[in-house]
Amino acid sequence: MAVTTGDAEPREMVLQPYLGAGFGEPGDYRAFFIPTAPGPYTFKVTGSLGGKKVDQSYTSGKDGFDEVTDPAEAQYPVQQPSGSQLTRRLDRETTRLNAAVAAHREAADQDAAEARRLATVGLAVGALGLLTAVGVGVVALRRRS
Amino acid sequence: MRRPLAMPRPRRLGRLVLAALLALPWLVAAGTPAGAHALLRESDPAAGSSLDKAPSRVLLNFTERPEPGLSSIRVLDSGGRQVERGQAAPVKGSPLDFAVGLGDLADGTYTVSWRVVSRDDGHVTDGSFAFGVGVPAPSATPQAQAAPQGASPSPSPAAAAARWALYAGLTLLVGAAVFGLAVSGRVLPPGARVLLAVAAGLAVVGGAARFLAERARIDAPLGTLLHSATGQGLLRLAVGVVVTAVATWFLAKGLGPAAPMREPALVGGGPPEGEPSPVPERVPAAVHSPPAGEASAPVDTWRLVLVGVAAGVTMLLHILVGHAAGPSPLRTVNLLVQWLHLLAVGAWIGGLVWLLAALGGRERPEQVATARRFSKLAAPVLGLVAVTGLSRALHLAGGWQGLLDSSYGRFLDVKVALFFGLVLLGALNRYRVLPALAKGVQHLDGLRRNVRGEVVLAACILAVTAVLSQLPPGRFVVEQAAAKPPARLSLKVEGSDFATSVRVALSVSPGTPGPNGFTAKVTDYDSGEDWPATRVALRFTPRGQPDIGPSTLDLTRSGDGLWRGQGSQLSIAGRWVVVGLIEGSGPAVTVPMELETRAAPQPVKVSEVPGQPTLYTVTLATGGSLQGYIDPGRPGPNTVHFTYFNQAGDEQPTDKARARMTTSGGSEALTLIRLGPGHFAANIDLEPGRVSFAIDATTGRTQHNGRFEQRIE
Repeated sequence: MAVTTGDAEPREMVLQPYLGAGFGEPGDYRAFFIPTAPGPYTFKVTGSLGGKKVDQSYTSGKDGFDEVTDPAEAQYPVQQPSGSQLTRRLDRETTRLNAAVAAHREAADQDAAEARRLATVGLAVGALGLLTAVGVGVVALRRRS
Repeated sequence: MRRPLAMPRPRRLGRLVLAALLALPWLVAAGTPAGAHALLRESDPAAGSSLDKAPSRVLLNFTERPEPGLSSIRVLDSGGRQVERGQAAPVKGSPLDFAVGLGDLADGTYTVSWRVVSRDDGHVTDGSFAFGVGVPAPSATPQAQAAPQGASPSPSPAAAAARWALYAGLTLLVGAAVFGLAVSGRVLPPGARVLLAVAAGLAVVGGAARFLAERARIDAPLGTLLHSATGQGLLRLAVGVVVTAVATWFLAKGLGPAAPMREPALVGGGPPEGEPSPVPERVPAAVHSPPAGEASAPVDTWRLVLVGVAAGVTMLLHILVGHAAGPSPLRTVNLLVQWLHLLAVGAWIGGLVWLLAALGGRERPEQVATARRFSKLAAPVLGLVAVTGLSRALHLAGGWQGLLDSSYGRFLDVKVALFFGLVLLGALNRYRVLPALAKGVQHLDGLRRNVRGEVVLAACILAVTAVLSQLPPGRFVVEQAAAKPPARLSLKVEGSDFATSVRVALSVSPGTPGPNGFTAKVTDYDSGEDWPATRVALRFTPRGQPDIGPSTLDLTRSGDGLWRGQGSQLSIAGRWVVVGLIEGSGPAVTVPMELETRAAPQPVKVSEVPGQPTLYTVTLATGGSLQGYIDPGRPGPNTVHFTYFNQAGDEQPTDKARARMTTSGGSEALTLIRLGPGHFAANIDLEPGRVSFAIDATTGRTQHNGRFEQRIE
């Protein structure tokens, strides 16, 4: 049997005789999985039964079984997010955080570059002033001498 | 000896024409939209809206400032009684807002009827719309459906005649000043006194008639009108007309004794260098002297200037109570452009009449010269008329749609056609008739005929303009046609999934229990772009009704990117949890939302029998009916009764019931006494005013909600 929902890869499972209380009932085959996303699920049963080939699909819907609902709907009083919801929330928040950090970093880099430019200009102006002062001093000394 | 006036030279004229053409883009850009008629922009409450709580006032926002003393807002209940309090007045700090207070409104439908005189251009508009309190409003009154933003009364023939006379008089007087100063060298043609008297008479009669016509249209007492800005504007115009008439009298009085029409170019030393003599060479010497009885009258320069300035200022006063005075960021520019337009029209059309007068009598050589000079002056003036007229038309016409669909646009089309006819005749004179005359054709009949035709066309243009200035501009009509109908009543809720990846904006229309339309917009949480969903479904669960199972509605994607569906999932009144299931790439996500249904409209039948309490029968959405009455229904101690009946007309047993009473003093829960299986009563103390009751009863799983109201007097 294969189960699938949305665009997720089908999950292959083997239907096995269910040996419950009193060793079960003939014809009762089961496979187990825990649905982690809400929505419709499709089950495709293949194989052979009593020598006959079986190939049937069952999808949740109005005429079939119910769709899987968000487990939070059944929680009370506090609704807890599922693991996958937490993971996606973390992914989204991480993406936002990274974007914010990158933006801040870019702004900081721009500020730093601007500061470097200003510093360079300041240094150049200072050096020019120094050279001018030295030149003026040299000229003054020469005139005196 | 007076100094001759400098005649315009061809190069100067060429530069003027060039300047006018260069001004075209500026004027087009300067033509910012003006209000032109006080158009209802929006209202609070909105037209067709339904409010849960009664508003304390009705506020209307117009495109122009309403005139406080001359404008009104009336609010009527479904019985036609006025429920507003006091006079409508502008909102302080927001001159475009006009509001009126309301009394205590009970649940029901109300009609807002407004009539506004624009403080900016004096035009009258009116309209009406409806809103509901506690119940859905009807779509609107028939009038409001036809013109939700307001309608303007049709132009009256008397008002059009008054405006035509005013335009004609002022145009003739401006034309006299321009013709005397720039064309004929301070000499007015024979018969000037009569023409001046006619012009002044037309202006005075037109000004007075316009005042009376406006008063009749506004329909207000004289004292109220004169205290308003509109009335004062009209009064200023009347004063301007009187001053202009007095100035005209000075001009007529100053007309000198009969003398030959002087040739200013000759007085100034002959024609400008390079310009051919204006006098045809082959004109017989005998016609150089004016025949007896065909004398031209010389006049002082200051008298001509006085008349020109007075008429020009009166034109400005006229503009200040017209379309151009509407609110606009560039109102001053609009006024200036309109004033230039009227002055140029006066110089051109008025000058034509004076030219026709100068061409009268026996043929004289100076008549040809005068016509040539007027033709040269007319070229730049014509350019100015075209540029300023185009600038005004561009933002008043309302585009091609306004030109084709509105009365304003059609009259404007006629005006433009007449204008082109006038231009054609002018061009014919300038490029055919006048050169032929210069070459020696002695007969002026052709020129006279053409100028006469121009004057007739000009009179028609003024008549069209007189009607045009009373019509709502095409832009007004186009905006009315494009006005969105009141939005359908709807509930709106928003939500997102826990992972904050998807946002859902859900709209439920009408939002009452029963069939509804559902529209969902699914977007990315951060970017707001459409979410690539492959399926959207809504799961409905009533809050506090565990015995009612959830139901699901699949939505389908429509062309505009929205997800839509129809269904009766909201089957009962109250709060509902709606979970959106969004499938797409990756695992499906759920978006929880919550909404509360609106109260469904309830038909109420009122039975009044003399000597008995008024009986209210409310048809319930769940089937059956609720009957209620207040005994005795007068101020003081009363008992209110509620009885439920099933569809067969038998008393409907109910499990439990609760009721609330709402008056102007507030809302309170009533202590109900069960008098029967479906009959409840409560003792209450009432004061004069409106009182409304809401009662909820439960039968099994069915909840019955009913309400009615009564005025205690």
